[in-house]
Amino acid sequence: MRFATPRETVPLLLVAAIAAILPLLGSDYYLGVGFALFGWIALAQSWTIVSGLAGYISLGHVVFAGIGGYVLVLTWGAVPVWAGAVLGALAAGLFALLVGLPVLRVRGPYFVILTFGLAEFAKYVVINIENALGRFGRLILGGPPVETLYWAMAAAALAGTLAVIVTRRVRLGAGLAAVREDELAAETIGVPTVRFKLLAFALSAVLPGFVGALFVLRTGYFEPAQAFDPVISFTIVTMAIIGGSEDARGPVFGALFLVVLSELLWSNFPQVYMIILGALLIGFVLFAPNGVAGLLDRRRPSGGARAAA
Amino acid sequence: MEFLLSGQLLVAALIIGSIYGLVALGLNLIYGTMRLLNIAHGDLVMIGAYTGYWLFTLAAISPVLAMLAAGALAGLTGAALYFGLFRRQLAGSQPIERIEANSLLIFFGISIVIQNLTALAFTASPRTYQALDTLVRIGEVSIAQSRLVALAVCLGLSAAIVLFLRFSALGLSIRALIQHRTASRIVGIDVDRVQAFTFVLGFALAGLAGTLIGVTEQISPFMGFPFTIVAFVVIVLGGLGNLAGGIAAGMVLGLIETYGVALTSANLRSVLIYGVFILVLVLRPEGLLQKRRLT
Amino acid sequence: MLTVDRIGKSFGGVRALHEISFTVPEGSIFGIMGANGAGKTTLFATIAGNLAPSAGEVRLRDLRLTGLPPHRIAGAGVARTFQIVRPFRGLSVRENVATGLRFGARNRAGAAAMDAAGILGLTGLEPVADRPAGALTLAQQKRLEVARALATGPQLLLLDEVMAGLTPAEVKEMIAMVRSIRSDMGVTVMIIEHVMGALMALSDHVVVLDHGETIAAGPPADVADDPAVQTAYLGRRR
Repeated sequence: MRFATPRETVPLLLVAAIAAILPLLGSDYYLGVGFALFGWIALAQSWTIVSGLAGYISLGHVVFAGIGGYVLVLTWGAVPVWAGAVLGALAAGLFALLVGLPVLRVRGPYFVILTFGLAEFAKYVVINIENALGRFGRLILGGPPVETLYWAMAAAALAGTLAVIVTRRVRLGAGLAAVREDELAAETIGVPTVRFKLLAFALSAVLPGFVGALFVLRTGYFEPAQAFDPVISFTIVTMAIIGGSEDARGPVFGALFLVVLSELLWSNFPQVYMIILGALLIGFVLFAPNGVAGLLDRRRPSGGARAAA
Repeated sequence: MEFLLSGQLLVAALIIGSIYGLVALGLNLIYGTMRLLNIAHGDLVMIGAYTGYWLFTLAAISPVLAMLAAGALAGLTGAALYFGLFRRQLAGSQPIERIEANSLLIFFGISIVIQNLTALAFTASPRTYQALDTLVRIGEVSIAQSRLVALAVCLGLSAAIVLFLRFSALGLSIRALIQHRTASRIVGIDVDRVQAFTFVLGFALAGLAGTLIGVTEQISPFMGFPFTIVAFVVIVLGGLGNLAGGIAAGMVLGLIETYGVALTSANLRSVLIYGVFILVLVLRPEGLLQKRRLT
Repeated sequence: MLTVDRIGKSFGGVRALHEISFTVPEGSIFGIMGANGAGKTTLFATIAGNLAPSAGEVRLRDLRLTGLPPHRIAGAGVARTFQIVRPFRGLSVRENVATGLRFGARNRAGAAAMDAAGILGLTGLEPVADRPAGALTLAQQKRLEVARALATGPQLLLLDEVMAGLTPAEVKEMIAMVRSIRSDMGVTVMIIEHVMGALMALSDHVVVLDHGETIAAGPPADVADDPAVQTAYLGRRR
């Protein structure tokens, strides 16, 4: 196996360093910020597997987090807390496998809007189920303390980062890159495109399922419109595009940037925050489609062929 | 069961269907001529609804007049976006698939900006107002005046646009662009001018329809997206660039929604619409444009 | 080696291929001729699995290819190039070839087991190996099509107009390259070409298609003299 490149070591070390430093600041506030940051990193890394590597841009990734959260509350009390979170992750992966086959036949922009529609569909289905059950929001009492959740989320962020790095190295990653560049050519040279896309989709769903369960544990509350909030999907895409979705660095950069911005603005000026997000998305798509990571590569011409592309 | 057969329900379905048809028409024009996926289309509907609301609330201006102002406002927004953002994109040498994918993300950003600017200006709380609410009786059916106006305007305008595209010189250029983008340039069509016009027209139609929608539905900064989805369903069902087909598809969707909700419950409306949307896309995975896979 | 057995394909009501049958002998260079729209590329697409034929079947030795997905056909040792080039634009030339090596045929015996350096050398792409494929000239992209197909380790290589749009000097190089693919690597080649002279010079055997039907088949010299070919193909062109 090749030695690790800076593209691989930088994000891993960055996540590990932040995880180690924040608890030293000795305040629950920083643990809370770190929890959110790691959550977004885990989500954006997962998104990168199917959307960055394979080029199937998902605008509905919240659906997996929502499913994870929902499974957690459904199994609450019936199984141990962590088993519930793991079940949530598995349920999200299973959902991806089930819907993936028909959904991944849809290509390009149609796939993008389809994923959005799918997430909204799931949201309204869950809302209706909850209404039918006479449940209007569910409280979760006695979940793990902040510190435990913090470390669990840090582990998720590391796992997500590692997943992107490993996927890029193995045969699956090479196949997904071929799919992204030209799917017809990819299958013609022997890439099992259907299987690979499905695998990538499922891989990109598992961790968000876990993250969604942790979100619910942190807030102590499950409400479908919030758990399946399309703004979460939008934020994931914006983070990945701002950071760059070519490798594992992008999601870390993007999440760091947006979490800081959100800490400054969200509580007092939520609309201003969203407007800035929207403007950033437009700006990066137009002027820096490879994100901050791409801009860094461009400054160092040794970045290889990808930087010049 | 009996009310399912009533004229009341049928008329309600026709009204919704005609509105959907008009909303989708604007999206269809823009997608057809420029391959821009305007996911912010529904937000123009929202702008139109607010225009109607404020003109009526502040100046007691009837929605019938306000819809013209809404169309103008939405059209201006379109002009600003076309000349500010998209003209350069379209003139560049990027492959069309790239433009298509990028446009979706750009419009997504635009949508978020428009929604939150509106929320910033008018708060996020939903609003309603009472205008044109006298009931009109036609046989056994009684309809609010506002809905009758919506039906007449949507059908009339849709028909007018279909005729315009069929018989006017500019309309022919638009249709040429929908069918053969590259060839149009060669035969001397002023592509830039036609694109600008279509862009503005598409936006204006959405804004105008928005005023009509706002009279009968709750107005909020985030009301638009379902209309974008509906418009996508309609043009996938009706066929890209097939404007008459789109109007018919709008009617079909209106019928599905009205009878579906009547048979189940109003809570299931969103489930129904998104369900149809998913089904339509999955069954036609090549998307709106039925690409020939020759290679 | 490859048997095409009464293949038919229609799009909607349009008949693109009708009852096409022939056998490609092992180790040969097999030419496909025909005017635009004669069905040549459609034929390649049905062999490589990109299109399902409406009738008939294709066999590679004893293996029925028809009905298999494209990646399984590539796995069985059939590679094709695209007339309208489809490189992985964002990847470097080397990565394009490496992707072919990583997938492709499952059984890479003998000459088919060439490494990236060998393929880049043979196709003359070594100097541009680290450039993104999208930045190459058309002639280079045509070579890359061949290189990537070769990287899959095929026993049978389908070349679709790899010489179209090239200068006479480039055509000459390409002819030499195709010959060496056959003789040095032992790969059987099927080739579609509009450049008549090149096709006649290269092929051991030629099939002529017209409106989706076979109108002539045989050694190049015989086919060139065939009156049906003269009227249907050569005659119409000039």
